Amino acid sequence: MTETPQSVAETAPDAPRPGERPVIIRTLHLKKEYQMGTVTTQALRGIDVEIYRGEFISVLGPSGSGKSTFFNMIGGLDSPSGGRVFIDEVDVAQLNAVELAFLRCRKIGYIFQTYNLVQYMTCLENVTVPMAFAGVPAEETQDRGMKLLDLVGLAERWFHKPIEMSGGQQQRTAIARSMANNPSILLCDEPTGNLDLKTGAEIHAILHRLNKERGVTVICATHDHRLISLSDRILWIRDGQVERIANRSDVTVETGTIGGEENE
Amino acid sequence: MKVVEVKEQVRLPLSKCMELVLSGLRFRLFRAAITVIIIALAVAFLMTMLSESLVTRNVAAAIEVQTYPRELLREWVSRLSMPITDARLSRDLARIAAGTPRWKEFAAWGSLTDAQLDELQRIAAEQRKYLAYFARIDEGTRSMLVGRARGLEILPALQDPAKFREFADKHPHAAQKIESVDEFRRFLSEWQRTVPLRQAIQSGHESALKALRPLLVGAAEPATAASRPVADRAAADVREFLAAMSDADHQALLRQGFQMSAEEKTLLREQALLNLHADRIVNSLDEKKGVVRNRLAKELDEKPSDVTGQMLLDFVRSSDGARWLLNLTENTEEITPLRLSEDRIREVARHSGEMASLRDVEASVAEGSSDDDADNLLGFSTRTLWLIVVSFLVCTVGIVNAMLMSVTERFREIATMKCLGATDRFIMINFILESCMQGVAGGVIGAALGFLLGVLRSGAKYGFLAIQNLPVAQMFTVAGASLVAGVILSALAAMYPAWVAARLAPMEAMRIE
Ligand SMILES: Nc1ncnc2c1ncn2[C@@H]1O[C@H](COP(=O)(O)OP(=O)(O)OP(=O)(O)O)[C@@H](O)[C@H]1O
Ligand SMILES: [Mg+2]
Repeated sequence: MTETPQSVAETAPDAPRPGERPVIIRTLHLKKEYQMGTVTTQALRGIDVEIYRGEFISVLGPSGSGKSTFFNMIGGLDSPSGGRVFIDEVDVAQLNAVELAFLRCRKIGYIFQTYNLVQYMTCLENVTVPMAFAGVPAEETQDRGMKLLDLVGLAERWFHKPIEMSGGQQQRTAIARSMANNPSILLCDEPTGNLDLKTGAEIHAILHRLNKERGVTVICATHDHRLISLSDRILWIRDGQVERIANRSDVTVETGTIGGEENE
Repeated sequence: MKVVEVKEQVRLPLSKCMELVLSGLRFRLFRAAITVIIIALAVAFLMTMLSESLVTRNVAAAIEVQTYPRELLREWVSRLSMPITDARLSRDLARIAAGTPRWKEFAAWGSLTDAQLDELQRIAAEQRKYLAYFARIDEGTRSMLVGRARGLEILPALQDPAKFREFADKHPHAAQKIESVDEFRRFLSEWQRTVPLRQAIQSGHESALKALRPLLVGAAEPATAASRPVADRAAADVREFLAAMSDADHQALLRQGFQMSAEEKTLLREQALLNLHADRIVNSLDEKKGVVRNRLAKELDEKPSDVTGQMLLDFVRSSDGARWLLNLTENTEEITPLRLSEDRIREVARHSGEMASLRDVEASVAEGSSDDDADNLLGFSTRTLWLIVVSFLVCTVGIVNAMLMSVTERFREIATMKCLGATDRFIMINFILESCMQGVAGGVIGAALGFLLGVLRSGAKYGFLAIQNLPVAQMFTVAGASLVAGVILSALAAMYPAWVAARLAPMEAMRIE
């Protein structure tokens, strides 16, 4: 840790300064090291970003740059090796286990790159699990679950188990699940990586609508230009560091430009 | 105004947890069934050992009851047919307690006071200890210490002061040592001092026997008695006497110091008669050139030389067989008639058959509890206790292994559940409920299976006796205990890894594997 507690307190203001957009996620010198035997991998090397409430932000970066690691940190799913994460000005490290569970259950929706569906549960049950954890009565979870599956076009397949579904179908199950408890923040790690153009476009539309109509903050790791073009801002990560952060309007969204920067 | 206002996650009611566990179990039915089967096998193993030990214990007790008349007869035949040997006297002295019949007999024969008998008993116990020591050391050492003396001869041999000094000199070189040579010296002199007391008992007994001679000798039928050695003949005489014992005979025994209760008298008469009649049947085999033997060999399709007395007894258990033998003995000239009714023949045959099958069982019971009747817990021999402990360990290892595997392979699921908002408490309850359910299922199946196996195995070992002497109530207690052990072990073995995984951050738990 590079920060002493005092300095953190100074640099973490309780309220947004006037004229600025309210920040929903703020990271301070966020670091993550993975220890594998004697080898230490520096996945994040000190990330400082502010993500505003209600914005749609895309995270770009080559493979292995630390996008998924970054998502795990800001989603409260893993403990940082250094630095801090504030969600709505609350230091995640200060939360106890039950509060973390509440946060993960109600406030943040995750779409994992590897889907992480529970293998022995049906499609519908996977979607309703977070509702059950939130204490929603069983009948209501069924209705809401079916509506969500309908939204991602899987209503007829509700009784299938993950192994009986294609990669795209599993991904759509994961998307439906992420929206189970109407979260305020959606963390999407390659949400449309496995989908065909048409289905992908439908998902993009859903994410866009959630963002615009319900004010959900959407954070997307993606390579998909159509999704990038929907976003308000773009964050480039390289080697565990913020390479650049810009408004989309300031970037020429052309296949060449962004693709080029990504593949460098 | 905050969008993300952090509160505490709701606690799911137990019913909700149960619901989730049940749906989980339904979907992982196959895997759960395997875990249950392993638990069941482990519990069954434990239960089999426990129930078999219980049955063995009961059977041993039952055999003692059933063979009591036989042992009683054996005892009395030897008491009435031969003098008390030194070894026998020492053994009896070590065992008797004040006021028991044997105690009274010894007091009467030796004209001894209770204090003298007390001393004799104490010395007999010590003697047992010392002789056990000499029996334990190896042949070479023993020769070095006491020369050629063996067993009871050692004590008189060491009375010679020169011999004892030699013993005491060489003793420090022996690998195993007597606790204290001085103590041993004290014991030897005390032993020597009480020799006259022991001899008084022996000679008292002998004169009692002499007084009873007119009653005892010549009672046996000359036909059967003549062909036998003297000791056997004396035993046959005594059996004949006991079989026909009148009240006057009983009184005569009592007058000579023998202690025989009225119940013992009745039992002895019955048992002696059974023995005599069985002998009479068996002896008919070889009368007059073995007519019966040859005919029976033909009936059984065996060689005449292979036919045994037990075969004849088995053969006459049926009414046809008994009639066959009666016809044969009555209608063949020169064979002594049996003078037994058909029903009596069958009764005698049945009794000796039962005793013969008991002998096999006695052997396997003795095998199961090979060590002395000493140092037992709950009536189990040390060997059996060891087996129980080992089977408990095997059971523990089996269950713990099964549970550890089934939980560790679900770390990823635990992590996913935590990502979706499961509390640590929920995960623990989930796994405790699940493992308890598996433990109960496996425990019930295993206890039932073990019960059955235990009964079958002991049935195979002890036959009908095992079924007759099933300690049903105890076996249910033991089944309950095995079940509880199964459930507790399963729950503990599941709780530990679940607790490890539940405490970690979700992505850390995901990385284990
Ligand atoms: N569990 C882990 N153990 C060790 N190292 C890890 C682990 N997870 C990630 N890493 C390392 O951390 C770095 C960042 O990984 P991360 O998964 O965050 O990349 P990414 O940007 O999501 O890549 P991609 O676009 O391929 O998904 C990589 O170098 C990777 O090797
Ligand atoms: Mg990734």
